[in-house]
Amino acid sequence: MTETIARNPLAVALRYGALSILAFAVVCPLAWLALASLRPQAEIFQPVSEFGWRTFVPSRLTLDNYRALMSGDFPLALRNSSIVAVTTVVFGLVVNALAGFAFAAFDFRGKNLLFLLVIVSFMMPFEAIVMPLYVLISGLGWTNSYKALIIPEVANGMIIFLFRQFFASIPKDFYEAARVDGASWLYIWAFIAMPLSWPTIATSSLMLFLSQWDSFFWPVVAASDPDYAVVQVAIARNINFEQNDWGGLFASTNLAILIGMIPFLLMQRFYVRSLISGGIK
Amino acid sequence: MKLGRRHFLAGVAGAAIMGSAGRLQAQTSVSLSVPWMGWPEEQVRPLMASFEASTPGVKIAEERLPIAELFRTLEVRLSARSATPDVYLVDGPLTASYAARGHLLDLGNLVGGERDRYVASTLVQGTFKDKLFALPLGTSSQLLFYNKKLFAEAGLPEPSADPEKRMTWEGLLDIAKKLTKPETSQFGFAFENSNPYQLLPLPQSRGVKVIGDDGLTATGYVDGDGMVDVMTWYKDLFHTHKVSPIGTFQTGVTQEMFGSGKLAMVLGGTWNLGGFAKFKDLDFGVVAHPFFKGGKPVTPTGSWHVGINPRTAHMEQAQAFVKWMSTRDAMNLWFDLRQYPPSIKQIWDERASTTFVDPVWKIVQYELANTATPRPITPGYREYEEFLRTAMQDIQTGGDVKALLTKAATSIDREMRKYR
Repeated sequence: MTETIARNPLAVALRYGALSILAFAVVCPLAWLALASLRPQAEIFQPVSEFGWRTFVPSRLTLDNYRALMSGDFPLALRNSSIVAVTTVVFGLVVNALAGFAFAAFDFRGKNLLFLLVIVSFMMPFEAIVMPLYVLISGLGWTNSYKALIIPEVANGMIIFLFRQFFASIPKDFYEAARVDGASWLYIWAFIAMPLSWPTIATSSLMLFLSQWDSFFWPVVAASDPDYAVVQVAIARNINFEQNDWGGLFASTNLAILIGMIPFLLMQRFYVRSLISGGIK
Repeated sequence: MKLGRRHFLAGVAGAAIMGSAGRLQAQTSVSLSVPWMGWPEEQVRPLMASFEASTPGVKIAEERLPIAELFRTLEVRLSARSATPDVYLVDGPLTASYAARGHLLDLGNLVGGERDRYVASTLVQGTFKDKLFALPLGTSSQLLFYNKKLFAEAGLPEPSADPEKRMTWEGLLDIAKKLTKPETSQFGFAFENSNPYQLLPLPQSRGVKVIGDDGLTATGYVDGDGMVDVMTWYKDLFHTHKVSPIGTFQTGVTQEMFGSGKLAMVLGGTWNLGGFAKFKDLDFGVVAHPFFKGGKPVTPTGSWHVGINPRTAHMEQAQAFVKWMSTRDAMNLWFDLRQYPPSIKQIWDERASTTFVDPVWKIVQYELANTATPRPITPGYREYEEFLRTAMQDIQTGGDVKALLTKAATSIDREMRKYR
């Protein structure tokens, strides 16, 4: 089918035309967002209603919005979010991979019920558990601390599920051979199973990182002290009921997107490989 | 408005000096957890700093939260019956909801015989079952802002600022049509947002009841014929007459449109006076809230209050903070920071010949005395507002009026059952 399209120049033109329109529609709002953050405050909305080249090209480029952001509490929020997200990734990988390994390698009583609970845990909307979670965290005296932001997010049903599926796909012979050679289960997990699962590790890290980078409601509830404000909370501060700081909003959103992309760029290689290896199986 | 700005700067500078002096004090200070609206820091910190300076040993850890999150986080923390927050910002109509569930301390003793100091209507929304639970930080009203340049371009005379000669909605629609120019994306009129606060005066102006007398029944009121008629009129603004821009759910958006000359008239609160200040080319006038021909003028009112969590571990300090908030100095500074119509009579009197000579404030004063109508007092206001807001937004984007209102009424009634 590709060849018939390729032979017909009109079809090629049409196809690229359609793709270009689609690409434009997808990129346009993001490009506008990026450029709007470089405009002077008063000019952000002026050209919108008269759609044209002025919509995208600012009359004057300025870093004022970013400067204002950097002199405020946004850098602190970036720092907080980074600490929270990276710590969650580190601990989350260990905890969830171990749990996934247990589900894949061992047979024990109540395993299926327990696994069902794991699956239910990630299907449950967060709003449904926020109340008991808050009572627990506040009972432990953890409100307004990194603990409150990190610990509830470490164990993640979805990631356990991913690891279980991957570890279950490794032939049990691998494990048994190692057991015969006298390896402990922890050794097998760390030096046989984990090294095979880089694609799953990459995917899981990204998911954990992004879930924390994007988290908003829980940080507001559990750690609303300004010292623990995270990125999404700092962004939302620009919007209030009676007046919006659009420049600050766009600039902070842009920074959050750019920094949130770093782990994706770092892990991209593995992410793609996981798709390829999935194809071979 | 120049005077307001000068006061504001003086207030900020004073508060900053006092604040830094306060910081030298007491190492072993108590810190109060105080969830607040996400207003800009420079409109919040000076107030807190001023209190800290006046009361050594007490610090205010205010949390500036976006409006929706303020309500949601208060809901979680209060329902958990924990000791925080110590003091919190209460949206006027939510007083009943919090008080009914035991989340607010009775302030009767704190205010004592000082009730006369307040503009009477402002205490109403902080009161539930005859007890005062939340002190008003101010009140609010809505005004019709119009762009003088666009009126001149369309050859229209400017409307009268006299509240007795206010426009009818029918008259406003005619003018709005003349001010709408699709070719330059210019719209004639918009409500600053689509919240019940903003839109309930429409049915009320026609004498339509918006909730049952028991404060718990929505069916027959929210989806009654009167409401359906009025909301159909509202929908027509967007879809039949096309004088209003669809998607204007937020003040931030309409403010930008009006400021950049893409909207000729906007119905909004006094907070817009500050919001419009950044548009240097904008020349605008202000007149009173319109009403329906044959109906009566009704304006929305009510604002932010402050209340104490009865479970606070720092009761003495929390009471000191709220008490301080009711003082003349605190309320005067608050007015400088955010221009809500004051709740204390003294501020109105003191500024009568300065700030309030502005025709804008003459109108506000008239409305507060004559047309201001508080939102329904019901322990279920949170639910009522939530469902009604969704319906109002969906009507604006073109949904079926009767069906949406019926759905809202059914949902509200379902939620109200728990308060019966």
